[in-house]
Amino acid sequence: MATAVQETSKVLHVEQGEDGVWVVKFDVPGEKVNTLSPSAFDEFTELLDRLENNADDIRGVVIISGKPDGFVAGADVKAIAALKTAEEGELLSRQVQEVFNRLENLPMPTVAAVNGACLGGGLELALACRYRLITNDPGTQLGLPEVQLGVIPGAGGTQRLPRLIGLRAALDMILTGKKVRARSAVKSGLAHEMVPKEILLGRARQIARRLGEEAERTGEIPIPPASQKRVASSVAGLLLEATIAGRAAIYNKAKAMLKSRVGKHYPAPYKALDAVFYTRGHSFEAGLEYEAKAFGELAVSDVCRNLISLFFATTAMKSEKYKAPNGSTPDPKAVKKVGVLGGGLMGGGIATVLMDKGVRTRVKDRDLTAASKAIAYAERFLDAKVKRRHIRPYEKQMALGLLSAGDDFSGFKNADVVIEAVFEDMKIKHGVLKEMEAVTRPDCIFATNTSSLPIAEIAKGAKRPENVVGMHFFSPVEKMPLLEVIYTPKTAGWVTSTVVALGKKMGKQVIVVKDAPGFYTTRALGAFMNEAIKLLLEGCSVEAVDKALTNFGFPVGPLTLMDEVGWDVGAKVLKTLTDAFGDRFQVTAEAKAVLATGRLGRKNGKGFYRYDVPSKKKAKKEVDTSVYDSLPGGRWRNDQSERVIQERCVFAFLNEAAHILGEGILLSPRDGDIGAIFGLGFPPFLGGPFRYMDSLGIDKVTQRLGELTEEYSKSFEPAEILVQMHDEKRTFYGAGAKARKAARN
Amino acid sequence: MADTSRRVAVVEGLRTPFSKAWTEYNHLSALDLSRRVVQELLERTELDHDALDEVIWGAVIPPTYTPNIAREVVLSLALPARIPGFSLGRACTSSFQSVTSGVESILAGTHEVVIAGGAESLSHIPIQYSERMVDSLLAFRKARSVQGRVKALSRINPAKDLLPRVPELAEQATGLTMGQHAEDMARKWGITRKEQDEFAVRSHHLAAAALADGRLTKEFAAVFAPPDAHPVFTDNGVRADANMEAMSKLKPSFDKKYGTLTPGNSSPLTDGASAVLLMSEEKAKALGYKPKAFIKAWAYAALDPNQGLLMGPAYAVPKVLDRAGLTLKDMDLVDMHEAFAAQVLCNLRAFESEEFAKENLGRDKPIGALDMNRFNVAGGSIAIGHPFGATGGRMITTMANELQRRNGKYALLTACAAGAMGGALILERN
Repeated sequence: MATAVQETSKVLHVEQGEDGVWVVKFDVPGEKVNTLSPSAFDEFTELLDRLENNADDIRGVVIISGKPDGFVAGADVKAIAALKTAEEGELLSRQVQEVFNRLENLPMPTVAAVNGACLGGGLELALACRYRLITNDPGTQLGLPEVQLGVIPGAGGTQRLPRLIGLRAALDMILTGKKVRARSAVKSGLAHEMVPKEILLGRARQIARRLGEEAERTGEIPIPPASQKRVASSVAGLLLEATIAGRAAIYNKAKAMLKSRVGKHYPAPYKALDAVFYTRGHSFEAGLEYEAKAFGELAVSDVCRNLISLFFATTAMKSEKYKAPNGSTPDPKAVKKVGVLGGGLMGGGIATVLMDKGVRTRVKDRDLTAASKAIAYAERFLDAKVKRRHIRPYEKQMALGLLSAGDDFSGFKNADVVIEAVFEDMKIKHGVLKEMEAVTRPDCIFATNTSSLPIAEIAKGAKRPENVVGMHFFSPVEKMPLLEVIYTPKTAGWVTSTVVALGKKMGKQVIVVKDAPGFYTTRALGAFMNEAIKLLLEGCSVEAVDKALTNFGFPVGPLTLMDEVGWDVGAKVLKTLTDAFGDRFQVTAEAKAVLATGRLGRKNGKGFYRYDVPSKKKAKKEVDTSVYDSLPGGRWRNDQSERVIQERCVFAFLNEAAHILGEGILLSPRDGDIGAIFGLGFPPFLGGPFRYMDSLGIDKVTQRLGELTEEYSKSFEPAEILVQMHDEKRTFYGAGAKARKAARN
Repeated sequence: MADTSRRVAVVEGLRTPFSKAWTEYNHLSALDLSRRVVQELLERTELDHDALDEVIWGAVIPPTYTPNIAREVVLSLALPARIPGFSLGRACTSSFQSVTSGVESILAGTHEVVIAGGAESLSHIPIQYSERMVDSLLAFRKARSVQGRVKALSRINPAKDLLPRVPELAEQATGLTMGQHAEDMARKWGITRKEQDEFAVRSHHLAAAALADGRLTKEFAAVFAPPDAHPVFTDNGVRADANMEAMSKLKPSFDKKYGTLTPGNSSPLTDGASAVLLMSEEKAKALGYKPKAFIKAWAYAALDPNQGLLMGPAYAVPKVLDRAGLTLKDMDLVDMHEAFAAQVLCNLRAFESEEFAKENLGRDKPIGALDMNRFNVAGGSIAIGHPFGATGGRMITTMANELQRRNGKYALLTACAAGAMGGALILERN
């Protein structure tokens, strides 16, 4: 029924059907997903010319992807990263807008046939079509995630989406970058219709033909109605959006939400909010101009550049093969079954994530009640998913089939990996290692989940030390995106490779570091918290310290964090670090006295903050002022300036991170940035500690560290690597990276 | 009847703790209990899932939404999808039947490894509406007009039809419940209330002792039950403090005036599941398992329901002994399902009765008298409870373990079943 026409273009393949419907297949050669690159836009322009010139012969156009599981995943991020000035960015946006305007104004009906990810520029492309037909495949997701990269949609998205689905629904998607699934896309009116993917193209053709025939009859392209459900269900909502007062209320509410959730360091969501509201009271064309200008400004900001480099880093790490220190790339072994020792918060969380990702998991704890906590953890996790309608109840039951628990080692003989999450005590860890080695296969990996105990020390009692590796998870495991894998000199390459692959399967960003006290994350965090405690001893108030650092961009302050991890754990970690690295972590006698007052943080309800007052939603935590009674200065506090607090804590962090890289514990600054951002809450807009040092300038960093050393303590003495880099005028990501690599090899 | 060179091994058996209906497992279906016991059986035995050929499951009142529990167990545990499963019913001997069906398939050479078991959740028996109610609702659904719908609904008698009915476990062929039949049997064989109560106390004491010394607890697959997945790790019907004084105070259940059967000397309505891992002897050896016992012989028998509904054991036992070429004296252990103390005692009387043997079995000599020290040594269904589909699997597991513990050679297991049937099975150790 269709005659294929040989095409010269690379991305767009056009098939002219005998029914008058032209099918445009979007298929970037050699890539797994389609992105909108500048060359794709060139082809698009040519295509539009052809369509306009042959308008009389074309009844309708279907735009579909040639990829089996994705439509268009967005703009080519590299093109944004390459922008040099705001004007360049604005121009790029205007050019793309122009292409989509022409698409929108074609004289024949256009149908976007969407299966799989339809994000960013991909959705903006679909929005410029007359009809959006989507599949009910679970992979079909629509969204405008631009704010997550520090920009706003720049191809008409901020203008077309609110006009299509209303202010509130559009804000919900644009301000957070949230993706919507097929069902809710149809419900909100974003898509017209949902079909099984097998009939996507056939149905799309049918619609294009039908709309085209109607246009021929009436001389006008019919505007297909949006979802009727939406109109019926939200009359009140539409009234709200139709009045000036209602819109003001929506605006203020959205702004308040951004202030509390996004804070002040990310300008893009605020710009997006204004751009969306530009749709009211301004023409479409004026809105596009506003959007393009905002896009251009944001695209060249530091925040955007850092978020984009973070995006590149995480994307690269996902597909990267593990490379051992000796340069080999050992293959990971298949992991069919994992044994987890300990059913507590960590063990339960690890088991839950494994189960969720389809790995059969057996939990062991000292008795069934303790072991059952892991099952309860998984059930809560799945119940929440059912409640949010991410899964159906039967899927919960199917998932739970993979998880079981017991009070002995039965079920461990066929485990490929055993992850221990027992109490952080060397003797206990040695005990479980010995027990576990007695019951498992010789090739079973023993992964120890510890935040600070040296892995080599744990491996000392092992019959098979080459099978021992560290897997440092962060709590709560199902939410925290980082996994720090730690290898010892004895760890076999395939062992590290296997747990890295397992971590990725669990959906984690995985960094691999060399075994040393505190590894990377715990040690860098230790320096940061230690400085916070020093400030407290010098007279600062708890809230001043925490607020300074949340204002800096950390999600929580160091003292809140101390309450969360537990003072006893904190004290233990600091002791480990002091033993290993001496002065830099030296906890003064006064601090020791405070840490020994029996406060354990949240877990015993006594910490820097009060946990006895019933927590009201949104209510701010109250500082437990009685904590000052055991601090020098008592209840009379003498705060230092926010800048000083920020600088001291952050520079302690940065300097320690540099030490760790210099000692070869971290293999690359990229790993250090990923680890700090995803594991420790280091502000993503700064790009991570190493990128941040680069942007401050290594000379400035060493100079300031020198001053801080003079003023406060020797612990600020710049790390050797910083001094060297300063002398050689290198940066972490620039020339420095190559030189360091050369030095290591 | 079977290839004598081949033997089928009981490699391992487990069961959930048994809980009285409407206590611990209110929110767990027979499928939930089944998949839990199979999950734990696979973990304990660390069986390579690829070795499993079939799952066979017994259930007397299977959930209406999952009549084939066996296959659902395979799927919900993410076992290899190619493993089929079927479910069956032979009343209270259903998991005897699932095991012997498994044995037959292994002896026939079609399978090497089978998981057989059964489950019952009496907390979830399907509640039914009256026939008139069902007819009216169906008519309502079919009706096209408002008038037709009103007419359909108007046939319902609110006083009689709106309350759902809990199905009675009455025999279709006799119209009597099992308890009423047992009362008849007790009268016929002259079993007193006191004898029954003493037997029930014995059942509780032996079961309590077996729980206390860990013989039964090691057979448990603990169930993680809502709320908060709390572990259920013991039977909740067993009473170590059972005594004649309390037992004799209970009122009769079935014949309020002259009856002798009470809730105390009858097995309670129970939820639970059991599973047994079966393999050909060679396969067990190849996979490195040490079988607990082998299935030596089995037999099912049936009689006229009016001649003693629960006398099945007295018919099945001589049959299985003949098949094995053994006598009651050869048995180190005898285990009889305790539906009612009266039923157990009637059958034991029949075992000893020459008259019964002649008239009902066509034999010159009685089956024989039992040494009570070898009988139901770990208690029975009166104390432990009786999830219909799971009891056979429980008995096979307990007897296989007990045979091993005592270093015995043979154990005889038998149970009565609705429809006036009986099943019997002999375990052997070498």
